[in-house]
Formats: sequence, structure tokens, C-alpha cells
Amino acid sequence: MTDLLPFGLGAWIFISCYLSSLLLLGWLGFNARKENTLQDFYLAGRGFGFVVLFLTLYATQYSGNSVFGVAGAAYRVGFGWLIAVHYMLAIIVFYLAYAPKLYTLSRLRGYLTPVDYLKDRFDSPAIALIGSIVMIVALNNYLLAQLMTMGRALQGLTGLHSDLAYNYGVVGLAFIMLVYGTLGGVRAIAWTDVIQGGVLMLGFFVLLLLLREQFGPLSAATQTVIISVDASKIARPSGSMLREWLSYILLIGMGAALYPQAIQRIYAAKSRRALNQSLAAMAFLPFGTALIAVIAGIYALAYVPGLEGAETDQVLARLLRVIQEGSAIGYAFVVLIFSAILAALMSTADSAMLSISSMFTKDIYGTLLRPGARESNLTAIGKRCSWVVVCTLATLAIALKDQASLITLIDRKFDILVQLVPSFMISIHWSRLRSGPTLWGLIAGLSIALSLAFGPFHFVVAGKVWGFHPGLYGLIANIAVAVLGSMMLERRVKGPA
Amino acid sequence: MKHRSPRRWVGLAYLVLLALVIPWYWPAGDTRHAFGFPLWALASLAAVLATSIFTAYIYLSSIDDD
Repeated sequence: MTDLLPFGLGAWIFISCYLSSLLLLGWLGFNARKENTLQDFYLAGRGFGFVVLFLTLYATQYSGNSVFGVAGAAYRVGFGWLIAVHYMLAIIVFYLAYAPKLYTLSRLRGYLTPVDYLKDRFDSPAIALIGSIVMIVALNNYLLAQLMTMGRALQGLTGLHSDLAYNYGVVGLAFIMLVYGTLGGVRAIAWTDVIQGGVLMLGFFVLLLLLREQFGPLSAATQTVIISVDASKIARPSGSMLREWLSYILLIGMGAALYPQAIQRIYAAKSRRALNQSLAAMAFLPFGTALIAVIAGIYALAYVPGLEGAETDQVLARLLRVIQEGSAIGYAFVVLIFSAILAALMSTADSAMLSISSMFTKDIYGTLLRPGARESNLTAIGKRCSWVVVCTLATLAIALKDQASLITLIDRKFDILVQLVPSFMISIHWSRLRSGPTLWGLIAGLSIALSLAFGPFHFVVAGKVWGFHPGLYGLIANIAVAVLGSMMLERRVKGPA
Repeated sequence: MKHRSPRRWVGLAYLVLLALVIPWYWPAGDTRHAFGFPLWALASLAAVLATSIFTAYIYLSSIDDD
């Protein structure tokens, strides 16, 4: 956002009111708590109805990357990045594989964290521990990316264009998020998600209208690109790019469906009806979000050509600047869109923060470090954990600024998250899946995925092997070990016929 | 708890939709467009919309399943 014009007093008052409303909801969430327990703090007493559940799933799933990263990638790749629409829908399709059944089990068995299911299903401390570590590492990566984008988002608007503005952005927004998140727990976060989801939805809609108003129809933008040096970005993607499409659909579809904060939203649903209705509505949201971000990238390709490298992640800001300079109404709408971007960032970051703290508190502190601790004590530990995690990551976000592009950041965490597919999606349907082979499959999958991702292999091109992400190769080995191992164990127990 | 036989055709339907979503069947190098979208993109988006409708139907029709 460093290309936007600095906001004036009126815009800052609007943004301050918006941020204050989040703090107010944190305080209201604190007052609405029914008991000082982990279930009340992290699952809001399992009482989310359709509207709250739908908007909290929406606000949590669509992050800052949905806005900046997708528009930037569409600028670099062209219409080929329509894949963003596909993989956002794939997440909802993969929920179908386990979410409804997991919801029913969570009600019967009282699950609080995703790892509670693993403990219940496998009775294996090793699977539970590795599952916790995989999820916490993936979430920390995600939270760090959101914090870095918060810094960039605020950087240009102060008029300073300096590192100091970035640092204030990271620290200020992280502080607000910490206050409302630790005051009211997931209840406050879901309520803020209702505001944030509403602002985000409105922001995307307004963005589409503004682009058409300022630059004309999309067909004119496409025609401009066709007669430019970027004409190839309109053509159907090549065979290797199509393999990447399949890879992204599978990797992000399965990986993001296993986000711990999303699993905890499943647990928090008031009823199976509320859960299914929310997921059914979510199936249409890629058209109102990811598709609009791709369209913004195409407009930028036509009217702000020539950007390269990290600059391409700023294409949306370039477009908004043009709109901002166009008219007073354009300026006002850019303030609204900026608020929507903040909403996308904060609503994703706060959910990740709470999920990390719940898993550390329940699955590590309450299980390994201090078994038998009182609920009120665990809740207090969870709040302290949130502060420690966010302060540490905010420091890292400041130290690592300008280190990686947004898409690079999201790629690796899905490579490790998908290794939990057998533990969740297969185990919930196939009772013959055994803990030993599942554990070895998980270890094999993680080893292969991480080796391919970070090892010095000449056949790994742009982080992929023959267009497919390392995590998928790890997953194939993972499933093979888990399934074949379980079948062999079963045969050995039964003995020869 | 009510038990229903698993709907195996659902997986098959998703495989067909996945094959349509990825526009491998469209001629490479085609830059014809309508409403601002290349034709191959419109074909792919139509398949995505069909997937959305199908997914919503599956969720809404299995509300009472356990």
C-alpha cells in the first residue's frame, strides 16, 4: 500500500472508529462470557448460529493474501491465476470429506482443539504431538505473513514512507488484536468477524464498481492487454501451468481445509444445520472475492504495466491511488476498501492467534507440562501465550520485512499441513486405519515434503517437481504407508487363513 | 443415529467437474474473449459455478445425516 496517497484527518477518524469498534466488541465479549473455562473462551460455548458462523468462516478464510497476493499473481500470470477461484472453492469441497462427521464427534466427545480428535482416534501421544507441532508451525507462518502485510498496509498512509511507519503498523494493529482477542476470546473474535466479514464483502463489491467506473469495462482492459507485450497472459495456460492448477487445487484445498482455526469453527457451530448452511453459502464466495481480485490484477496489467518482482504485490495499491486521485467519492471509497483490507488481515490473524494459544495451552501445557491444571489457570495461560506469540512474531515481522513475497510465504505451510490428511480425512471414515502406520506415514510425508522443498535438488523448479508441490509427493507416500501398513498389520493380526 | 449408504457417485461427480474446471481441452493460444474474459476462462468459470451449486446441494441435502 506504499503507493497510496496519505490519508487525511477524516479517513483516520473513520479507521479509528472502525478499530475502536473492535475493542468495544472485545469488551462486550468479555462481559458475555458464561464461565471461565477453555470451552467458553475458545469455542464460545459451541453456540454459533448460521449468520455468525458463516461470516466468521468467511472473514477467517479470506486473508490479506486473498486481496494483495491474488491481484499481484494475476498481474504476473494473467487469467491463469483464476486458479485462485478454484482453490478457494476446493477448500469447501474438501470440508465435505470430514467436517460434518467431525462436528458430530466433537459434540459427542467434547473436543476443544483439533488435536483432541487425534488423541481420541489414535490414542498415540506421538501423533498428537507431531499434529500439534505441524499445526502450530503452519499457523505461526500464516500469522507472521498477516503481521507483515499489516505493516505494509499502514506504511504508505502516514506519508512517512519509512520503516518507522511499517513498525507502527505491525505493533499498533497487533496490539489492538491482542486486546480484543484476549479479552473476549473466540466470542469477541467471531463478533468482530461479523463486522470484518461485512466490511470485506462490501469492500470487494465497491472495488469492482470503482474499477469499472475509473477504467471502463473489463473487455477494454483485456483488449489492451492483448495488443501489449503481455498478450500471452490472456491465452490458455500451458500444459505445465495446468499441472500447477491441479497441484494448487489439491494442496490448498486439502491444506486450508485442515487449518486449526477452521476446525475450531466447526466445533463451535450451534447445530449441524448451521454448519452445513454456512459451508453451502461459502461455496459461492470465491466469485465475490478471489474472482474480483483476479479482475483487479487484469485491470492493473492493462493500465499500470511494467511492474516487476515484489512491486507486483503492490498492484492493487497502484490502482487505488489512481482512483483516489480521481474524485472525492473515489477517495472515500478507497478508505472503505482499505478498511476492508485491514479487516481481512486482522480477522485471519486473530483467529490464528487464538488457535495457536488453545493448542499450546490444551495440547502441550495442559497435557505434557502441567496435567490436571484447573480450567481457569489454563485460560489465563492461554491469554499469556497469545501475548508471547504475537509479540515474538511482531518482532520477527519487523526484523524480516522485505524478505519474501506473499505467495512464497503461503506455499510451504500447505506442504506440511496436507500431511495431516490421513489423520483426519481418512481416519474419520476408515476405522481400520492404525496409529503406528499413520505415525510413520506422517513422518515419511513430512520428511519428503520438507526435503524436496528445501533440499538442493536440480529437478525442483520454482519450488515444484514437474509442476506439483512437494507436499503432494509427501502425501502420496504418507497415504501409502498409512493405508498399506494398516492393511498389513490387520492381516498379521488375523494370521494366515 | 440414522445411517445412509455413502453416496459414492458424489466422488465421481467431483472428478468429472475437476476435469472440466482445468481447461486442458481448450486450444492453446486462443485469445478470443467475451465480457472481458477469454473463452477458455469462461468455460472454466462455468465448471466452477457448477461445482459450487453441486457442493451447496450436497451440504444442504445432508443436514440431517449423521
